[in-house]
Amino acid sequence: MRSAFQGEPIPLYTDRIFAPDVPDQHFINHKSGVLMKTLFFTLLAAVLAAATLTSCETVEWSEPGALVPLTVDQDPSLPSISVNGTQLHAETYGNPNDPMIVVLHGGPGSDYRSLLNCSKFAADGYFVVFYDQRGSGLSKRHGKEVYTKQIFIDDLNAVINYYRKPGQKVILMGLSWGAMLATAYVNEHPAEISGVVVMEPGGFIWRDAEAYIKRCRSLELFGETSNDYLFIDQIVTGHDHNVLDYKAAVQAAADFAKGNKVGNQGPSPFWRIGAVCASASFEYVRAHPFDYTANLQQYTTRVLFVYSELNTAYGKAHAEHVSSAYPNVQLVEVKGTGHEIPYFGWAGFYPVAKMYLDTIR
Amino acid sequence: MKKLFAATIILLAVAEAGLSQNINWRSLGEDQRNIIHLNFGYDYGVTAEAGYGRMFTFIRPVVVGVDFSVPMGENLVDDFKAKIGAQIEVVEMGGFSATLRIFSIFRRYENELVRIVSFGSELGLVAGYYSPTWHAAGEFGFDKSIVSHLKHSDVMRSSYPRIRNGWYIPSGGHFYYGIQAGKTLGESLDLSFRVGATEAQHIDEQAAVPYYLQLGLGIRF
Repeated sequence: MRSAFQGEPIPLYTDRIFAPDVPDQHFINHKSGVLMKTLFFTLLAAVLAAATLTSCETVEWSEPGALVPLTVDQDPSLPSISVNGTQLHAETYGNPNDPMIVVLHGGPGSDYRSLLNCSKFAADGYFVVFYDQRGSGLSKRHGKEVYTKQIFIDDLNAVINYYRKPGQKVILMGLSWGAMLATAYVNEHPAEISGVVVMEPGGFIWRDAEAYIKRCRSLELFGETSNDYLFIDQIVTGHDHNVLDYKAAVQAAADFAKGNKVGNQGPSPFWRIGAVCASASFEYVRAHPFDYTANLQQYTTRVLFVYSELNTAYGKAHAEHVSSAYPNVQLVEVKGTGHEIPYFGWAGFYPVAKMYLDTIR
Repeated sequence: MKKLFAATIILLAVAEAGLSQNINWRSLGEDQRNIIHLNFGYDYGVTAEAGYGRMFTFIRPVVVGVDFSVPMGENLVDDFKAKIGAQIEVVEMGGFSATLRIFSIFRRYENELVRIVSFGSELGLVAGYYSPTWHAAGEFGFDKSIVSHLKHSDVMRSSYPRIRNGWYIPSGGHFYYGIQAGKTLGESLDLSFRVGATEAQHIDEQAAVPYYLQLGLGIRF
């Protein structure tokens, strides 16, 4: 892995015994002496560390704002709305009377920061609504017991009702889990939605989504990325949202690490990962598998279904399989990007999406 | 290639460091006070471990040692764990033996977002039946990173510019519990096996893979 700290020394406190000016014969003949030196320098390092720590400020992992940004309930300056018994980080772009696009981020547990390119649709005559889903991004945190399939649909319904004017068209635009949520909403409220743009939904039934997730996250036992993901578990410990969200953010480096299967070319911006939301949601769907396709055949409006060229875990075959749940689909591959289509593939995505949106406005 | 690399690292580590892990007190002789261990398995990542220990007798038998382990990957020096400590046989009754394990642990971790150096400790108890040629025991312990220094990369700072570098005090740790067994081969070799589970102090911080597995070779001299 490319080091983000190249040029800085690695603090190996046993460097002394590896020094090139120590003759090999001396090393062999005085192994016990070397052991004692190792012990001595290790103890010395510990003593120095302790001495340093006593003179340094220490921070608790859980201190709000230290490792992850504050959420809307902690920072009143953040834009937010209160709906359905929670407080969501939300903002809008464009004329509130224009057709409304509700942008849905992935995860569960991610946030909308990497989707902000979609705010440019405001210049094309759309009212674009972004919100961080419950327990994600900068939205208020909750305990794991609140995360069910239905809560995300109900929150989306509440967000739509919060902003919607009478007779205003509503278009859902979702990436990954956000595309699944958009479909779950269409499945439940088909008459409410005038158009849908879905980008690489894992699946509309749990079996498909699970298979895709396994392809994305398969562990390579001898790989740097896998072991980076796992090794930190023994260091970063704690049980509050600040700690768990921070650890999830560090582990999310796997999403853009060299050789990642979803084709991300690098890091994409985020505010704060909702670790409890993510883990609780996955725990819930494993116990209660979903099927968001029961009513989709009734939704005859054309749906724009987008997948990326570089996501090797997705691909055309999976896209065709998943999209077949909709009766009327425009299937498009966006070239030169991986899973984070609106961020890395905006140039390819925008004209396709605009053309689709203009047909239903 | 990676396995060859791992084997090379093990050999290099053995040449330079030392450790003590699974000890059969009954197989240690007066003329075999030194132990080299080579271990391979899963311990918060697929890891190779090597170490050296030396036995002393202060009222009760004590093995003092150090060990060094690295998770696999393209970069084998960015993450590692080094332990220094002692194992003390606190009870010996017939074939039954109980051993207290106390270690100080230094860990280093680095990825694209953060570099962490961490000081911690591990306290454990191993108890079971030990004969001169084999042993079987249960083990239980607690592992905690007590204080860690975080330095974040530009990538992380670009996402959250106000993120704070510095020393952090955690609020949790991990219990571990499992079994171990060993078989003596000839005069100076021991094969060992450990398997068990880790349990986070707080349930929400459960490790991604909450298990450990270790295959070991001990050389006494």
